[in-house]
Amino acid sequence: MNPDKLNDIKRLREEALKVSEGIKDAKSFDAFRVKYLGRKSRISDLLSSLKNLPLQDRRVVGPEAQRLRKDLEEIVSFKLKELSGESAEVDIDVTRPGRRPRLGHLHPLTKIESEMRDIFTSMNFSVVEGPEVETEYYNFDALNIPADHPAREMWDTFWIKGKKGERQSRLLMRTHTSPVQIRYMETHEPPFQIVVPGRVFRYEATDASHEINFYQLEGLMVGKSVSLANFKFVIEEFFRRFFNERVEYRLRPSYFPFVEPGVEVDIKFRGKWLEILGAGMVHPKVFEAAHLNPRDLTGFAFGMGVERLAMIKYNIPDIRMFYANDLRFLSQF
Amino acid sequence: MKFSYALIKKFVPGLPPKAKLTDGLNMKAFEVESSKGDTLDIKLLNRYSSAASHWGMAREAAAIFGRKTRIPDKELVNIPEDLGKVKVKISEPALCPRYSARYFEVPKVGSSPAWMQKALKSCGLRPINAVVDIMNYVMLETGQPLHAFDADKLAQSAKRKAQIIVRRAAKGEKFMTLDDQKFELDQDILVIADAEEPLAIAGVKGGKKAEVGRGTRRIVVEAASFWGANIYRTSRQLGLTTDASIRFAQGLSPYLVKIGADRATVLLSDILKAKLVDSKDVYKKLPGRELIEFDVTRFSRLIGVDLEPRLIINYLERLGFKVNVGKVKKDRFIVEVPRLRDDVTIFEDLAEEVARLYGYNNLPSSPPLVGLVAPEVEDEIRLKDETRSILVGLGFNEVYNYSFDNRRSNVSRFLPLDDARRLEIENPISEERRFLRPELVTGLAGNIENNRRTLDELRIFEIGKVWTPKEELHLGIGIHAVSGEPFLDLKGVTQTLLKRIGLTEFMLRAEGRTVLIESDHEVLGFASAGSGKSVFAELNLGALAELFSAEYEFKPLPKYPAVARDLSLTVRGNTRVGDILEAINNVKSDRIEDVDLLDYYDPTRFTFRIVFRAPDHTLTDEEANAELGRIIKYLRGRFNLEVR
Repeated sequence: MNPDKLNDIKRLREEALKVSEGIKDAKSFDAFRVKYLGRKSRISDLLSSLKNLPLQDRRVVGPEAQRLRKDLEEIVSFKLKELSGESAEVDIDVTRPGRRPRLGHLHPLTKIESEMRDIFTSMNFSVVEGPEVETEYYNFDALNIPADHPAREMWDTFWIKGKKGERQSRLLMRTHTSPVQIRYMETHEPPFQIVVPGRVFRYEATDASHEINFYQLEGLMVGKSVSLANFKFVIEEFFRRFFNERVEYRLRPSYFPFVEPGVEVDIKFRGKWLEILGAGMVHPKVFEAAHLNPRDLTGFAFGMGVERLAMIKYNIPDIRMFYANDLRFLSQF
Repeated sequence: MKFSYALIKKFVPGLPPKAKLTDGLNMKAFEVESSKGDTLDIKLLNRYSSAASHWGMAREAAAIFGRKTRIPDKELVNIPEDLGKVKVKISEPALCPRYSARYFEVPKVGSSPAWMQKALKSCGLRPINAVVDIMNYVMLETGQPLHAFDADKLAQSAKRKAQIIVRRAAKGEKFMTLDDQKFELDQDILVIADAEEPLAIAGVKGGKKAEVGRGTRRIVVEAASFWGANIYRTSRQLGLTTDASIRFAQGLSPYLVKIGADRATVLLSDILKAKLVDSKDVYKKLPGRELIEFDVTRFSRLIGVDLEPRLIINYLERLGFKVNVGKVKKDRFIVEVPRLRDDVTIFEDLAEEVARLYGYNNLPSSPPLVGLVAPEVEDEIRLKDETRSILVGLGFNEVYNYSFDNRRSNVSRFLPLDDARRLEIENPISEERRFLRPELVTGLAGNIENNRRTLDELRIFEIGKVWTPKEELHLGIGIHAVSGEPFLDLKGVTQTLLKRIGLTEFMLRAEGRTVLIESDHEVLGFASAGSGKSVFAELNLGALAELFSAEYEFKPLPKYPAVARDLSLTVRGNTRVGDILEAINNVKSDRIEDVDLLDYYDPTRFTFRIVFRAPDHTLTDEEANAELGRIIKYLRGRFNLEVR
C-alpha cells in the first residue's frame, strides 16, 4: 500500500477546490484548466505513474485518481456555465407568470372527425377514404339513383366541365361519401366494417346550416347476417361514447335509394330532437353494382355530418365559421 | 307536400287528433315537417307515389292506428265508350303507357262548393271554377293529376270529333301556358295536342288554347300515365314544377288513371250535373299482379327481430297487402302487392313495411357477431394524422379552406396550370369559386391576409385535396412574422417535418427565392421566401406517403465524446452558405458527425460548427485538427474563400 499516492490525491483535491473558488474570468478559468486538467498537469502525471505501481496499490489508487479527475472536470464545466451566465443561482422571482409556450391547434373538424374515427376503430371498423372528384356512376348510378330520377334532386350537384365525348361517365364533386361503399366492396370480400370520413359538396346557397363543402362520415358493415338491430347497437355505442352519456335517440322511416329499409336517426339534445344521420340496410342493387351476391349478404350503411356533430358538441351556431379561418375561433379548440 | 287533416279524417272516421296523427306518421311512415291549422306539410321523399294523395295518406293512417278507411273508390262500369265523340292517338306509347279521355256535357260551370274550396286552400291550391277545382280536388284525393280541355276549342274534324294526340313536340314549337308563360319546346318534350298544336305540356301544365272558362259547355277530361323520368326531365328543362309534375315524376301507376277518371266522373255529375257522353281509354298492357315471397327467417336476419308470422301478416294486411292464408307455411308465404304500391317489388320492400309498422324503436339493439380482425387505417390517413400532430406541436394552427378557388398564387412551383388544364365547375356557385384549387398556398395567403390585423405572428397549415388537374393530397404551410426571418423557420419546420415522418432521401435545391424539395428527381414540394414577411411551403403529401418509411431503428449511443471545431469563413464571389454546406457534406470522412451554421454576419462572412466523433476512441486534438484541415483544403480547392 502506498499512502503517499493517496495523500497526494487528497492534497491535490483540496488545492484545486481552493483555487477554483478564485476563478472569476476567462483568464483564470483557462489557467485553472491547464494547470489541473492539461496534458502536463499533476493529475496527468499521477495517472501515467499508476502503471509503475504494484497491482494491489493500483486497485486502490486508480479509482481514487479517476474520481479526482472527474470531479475536476465537473468543476470546469460548472465554472464554464457560471462564466457564460448559465448559473442556476441567479435571482428569480418565482411568482412571475410562466411563459406561455406557442401552441398550435387542430381544426375543430379534425378533432371531431378523429374522435369519431377512434370510436369506430375501437369497435373494429377500418378507416378508408375515397376521391372527392367522382364519376356520375359511383356517385349516383351504382347507388341505385338512376339519371332522370327525381331522387337525384336530394343531392344538388356541382358538375365538372368536361370535353364532350371524352369520358364515359361524367365527373362531379361527390355529393356524399357513399361512392366509397361501392369502391370498397368492389375490391374487398365481406365480412368487413368500415368508416369513410371525407369532404363532400352540395350546390346550394350557404347559410348558418348549409355549406358548399362539408364533411361526412360514412359507415358500412357487411356480413352474412348483419341486421338493423346491429346498427342500433353500433350507433347507440357511438352516441354514448361521443357524448359521454347515454343519449336518447330514435329511428324514423326515411328514404335513400341505396338502402332498404331506410331510416333517419334523431337524438334528443337539450330537450330537442335533432336529425343526426341517415341509415339503412344496403339495397340489393347496391350489392349487385359492386358484383356481390345479395342473396348471401346483408349489411347496414349510415352517413352523418361531421359539422353537425361539432356544432352540437361545441355549441357552434353557424356552419360557416368552420371555413372562415378566423384564428380567434380556431385557437379555441 | 301539403295535406288537409280534415280531408284525411273524412276517409278515416276514427282518426286520432292531429298531434297524435303527426306523431304516428313521423315514427311509422313519413316525416311531418310542419303543421299549421288544417294543413300538414309532409315530406314524402320519393318513397312511394300513391302516398301523394289523401286516400294514400288515409290508408297509412288507418294502418298505423289500426282503423278502417271509408274511401269512395267505387269503380264505374258500363260507361259510354268509343262512341266517336273523342279520339285519342298515342304516338309515343313508351312515354305515355295509358291515356283516358272522357267527354262530358256540362250544363253550367259555376263555382265549386265551399267544402271543396276549403280543402284546396288547405293544400295550397287556389279555387278557379268548378271544373278546374274538381280536377285539382280529385288529384288531392286520389293522387292522379287530371286536366280538362274545352272540347269546343279543340281543332274540329268534320264530324265535331275531339281529337287528342300524344306526341313529341317539334323543335322550336311554341307554347303558352294557362298563366301566360311562353315556352319554346323541343323533341324531348311530350305534348298533348289537337290536330293543329299543343294543348298541354304532358304531365306538367295546360295551355291557353283549350282553357275551361265560365262559358264552357263541353269538356274532355284527361287522366293519363306518363313516364316519370321524362316528366321530371321536362320539368327541370323548362324550370316549371307543378303539383302534377311532382306526382308524375315519381312514376304513377297506370291503374291510377281509371281511379282518378271515375272519381272525377262521380263528382262532375254530383256537383255540376255533368253528363258523361263518351270516353276513350287507350293502353297496351297493364302490369300484372306483383307476388313476393315473404321469408320470416330472412326477415329476422335482415331486421334483427323474431316476429310471429301472424303478426307479420297482420301488419301487411293493414297496409292492403293480400296474404294467401290458405297457403301459409310456418315461415314462408306469398304476398300480393296492392296495385297502387308499385314501389314494392322485392322482399326488402316488404320487410320495410313490416318493420316500420312494428316500430323501429321497438327493435332490440344487439351487438353484431363478427370475427375479430385488427382494424386498418390507410397509410395516407396515418400520414395526415402524423403531420398534423407534428405541426401542431410546432405551434401551427390548422385551417380549412374551400375546394373552389379562382385565384392563382405566384409562388407555386408545381406544374404551372393554364386555365384549360384546370378543373372547371360547370355550374359554379360564384365567379370566385369557378375552379377547383390547384394548390393550397393561395388559400393560406388569404387566411394570413385576413388574420394579420389581429396577430403579429401567424403559423398556419392546411391538409387537403388539390387538382393539378389530377386529384392530389397536399400540405400547405404558411408563416407570417413582422420581425425575424420567417423563411428560415419555414425551411427548418419543413425539414424537421420531413425527417419526422420518415422521409430520409430528399434534396433541397435553391431556385431564386425558392427552395425545391426533391426526391428521385421528382419535385415533392417547395418553400418560398415570398415577400419576406409572409412565407409559404407546399408539399405533395400523397406522393410522400408512397416514399416514407416511418420505421425507426435503434442506433447505439456513442461511447466516446465528440469534439467540436468552429470554422469561420469569408467568401468572395457568389458562393452561398448552401454551397459550402453541401461541399462539407461531400468530404469523405466518417468522423464528421454534424455541420451547423453557427453565425451568419452577412452573405460573405459566416461560421460553421463542425462536430467530429470516432466510434472507437476519443479523438485527440491532433486528429480533430487534421479532419478540419482536410475540410479546409477541400473548400479552398473549390471556392474563393478565406479562413478567418
